[in-house]
Amino acid sequence: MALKPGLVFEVMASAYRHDVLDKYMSLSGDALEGVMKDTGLQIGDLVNRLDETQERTVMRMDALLARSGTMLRLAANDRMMAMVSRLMDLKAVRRVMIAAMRRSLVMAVTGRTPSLAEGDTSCAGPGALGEGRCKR
Amino acid sequence: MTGHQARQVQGVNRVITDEAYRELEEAVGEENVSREPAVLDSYAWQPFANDNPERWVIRPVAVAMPGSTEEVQALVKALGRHGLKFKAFSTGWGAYSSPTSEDVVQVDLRRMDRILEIDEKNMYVVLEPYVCGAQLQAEAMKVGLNTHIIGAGPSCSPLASATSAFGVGWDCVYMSYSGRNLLGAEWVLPDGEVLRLGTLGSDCGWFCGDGPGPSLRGIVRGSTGALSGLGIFTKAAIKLYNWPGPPQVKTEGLLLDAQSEVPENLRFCMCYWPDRKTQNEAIYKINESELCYIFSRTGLGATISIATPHLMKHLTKTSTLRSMITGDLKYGCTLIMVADSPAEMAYKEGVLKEIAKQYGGAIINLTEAKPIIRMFLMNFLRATAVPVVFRMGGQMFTALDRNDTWDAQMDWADMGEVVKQKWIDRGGILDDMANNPYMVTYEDNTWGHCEEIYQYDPRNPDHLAALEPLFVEFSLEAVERCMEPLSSTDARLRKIISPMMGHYTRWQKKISGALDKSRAADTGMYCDEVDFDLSKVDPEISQRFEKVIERFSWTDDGPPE
Repeated sequence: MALKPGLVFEVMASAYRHDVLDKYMSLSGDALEGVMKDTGLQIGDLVNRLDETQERTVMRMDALLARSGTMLRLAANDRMMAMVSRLMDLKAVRRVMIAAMRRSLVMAVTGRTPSLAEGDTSCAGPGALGEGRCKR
Repeated sequence: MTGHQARQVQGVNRVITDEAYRELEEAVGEENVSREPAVLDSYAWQPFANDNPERWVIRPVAVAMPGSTEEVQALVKALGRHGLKFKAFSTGWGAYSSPTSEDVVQVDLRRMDRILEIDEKNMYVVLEPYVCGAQLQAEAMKVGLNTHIIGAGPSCSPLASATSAFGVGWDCVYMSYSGRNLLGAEWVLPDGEVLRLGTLGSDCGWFCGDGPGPSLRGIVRGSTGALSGLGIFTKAAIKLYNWPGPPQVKTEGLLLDAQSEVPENLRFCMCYWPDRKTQNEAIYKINESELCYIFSRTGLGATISIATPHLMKHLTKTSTLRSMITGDLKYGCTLIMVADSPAEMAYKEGVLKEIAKQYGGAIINLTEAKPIIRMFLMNFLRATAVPVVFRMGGQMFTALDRNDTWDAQMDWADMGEVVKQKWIDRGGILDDMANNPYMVTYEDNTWGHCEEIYQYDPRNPDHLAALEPLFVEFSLEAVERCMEPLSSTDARLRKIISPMMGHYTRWQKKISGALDKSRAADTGMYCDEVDFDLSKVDPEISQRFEKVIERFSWTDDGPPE
């Protein structure tokens, strides 16, 4: 089923209205910093790795997005997004989100699954630890 | 574009006489002149802004590097005595700095590379032609000031942009257009005399580029500049602007590897809007509210194509992702806000949020994503990202109309997308999802700039064959909408559109004749005209062009009915 035009924007606008976009940018920044620390790669290297994404991966993402209509309609709902926003205020949720993003990005750029020790689930950005970045 | 002219004279290898060459040596010193073919060819290799498949422009007969205004005068006078022409080259940018006929000496101004004065209190700089934007910005920031940097990038000469060529950039919203920042100039006329413009001409310093009496700025610049067709500018005063950041933005790495320290009172935001109408209204509001230090509108596809060109090739084959990029996320803009205090920044953020609320927008505050903003910061503030636009195919060019209201520029962007998609489908240019405008606003105002970027591979014969028809088609679309296409540097198009615009080249030729009686300046990109060969163009396009010429051309009695 083709995605309804404008639905992705609706999700984004809803996320913005409920501060989810801002919170997500902050978490993704922390996750990226963690990836750079784990892999020793610079941001330019990460962009280049992104550029090396294979066609079949892109096509899989395209198919996944095409099938995501129901989920996106749900996400565009203001009540749902308000709840997500409140969840993202919880330290534990932030910690899990950063760790998950960091772990999947490390897997994507290195092709291997990081161990739990490497994954460093204690990383939750400056707010969670109160004293700066991810601790190793 | 100069390729047409270049092809006309291919095979001609005019050489400079020994006597003329000796006089050039006397003017600038033996070690500062060359007629070595390899040296000359290094100036003639100019693939950018050049539709010649060979990617060369006409080779100059010699190159001379004066080190002072006096040496420029002596050089110009010597050339006049020998019936040779000059073409100035400050920092150079593609074929625009190159000769357009076979009797030209390239005047390379790289020895004139000094910042002479930064007047902190009155906020201007006096500089020479080979000072580049990055150099000036680094010095200006040390005293809390900043300079406008054009879209061609920080390697370009602010003097050349202010006096002689174009002048648009991402910072135009705050730092205006190059020609409007000119506060005085020292100008060596084609006969070797020096003219000092504005207050400088009355020995009152460099603070004003106009008067006393009638201003010559219009003659110097027009809308675009004469590209050395009226002489050589050896010094200029250029307006500087406030910079509330640190004296030095500490940066490691280059381009996509760059990591800069982000000033506290700076925000980098990408804003998206539901549709064209709300986008335009929101952009007018953002400008009226004087929020931005940098403002641009570029298609998301464009960003992907320059940062990740290989990924772009895969994305063009998708359907849902493609429609998301070109549909859902089509209407957006990118802005940087700076402030002198946290309170001012809080105010600006509040206003932006209010505008987003009013027009249903979504704002992505990239400042929160630290590694990304650290990478983007100087790429935008210093416009260092520009070279990456050549990554996808090796070459790019652009279709632009004259600066106009934002709504009119959006019409141009939409039209450009349609024309580009046609040529993408034909295999004439690379697929960047068609929506790739480079748009800015000026001076927190309602007028703006739009050029439609297209990328091509100069090794692909189909792409080379498409360049001229594509250029004609864009030009036709502009004229049909009463817009002015990119004509100022193209002698072919100038001949076609001048009669539709009050025969403006007649006036340019009169100015040129008055200032340059010995015809010493290379006027190929200023007022010369040559016939356009429309044989490579679709007959339908050719007929439309003829019709529009007939409809809009002025007679000697005035404009058409």
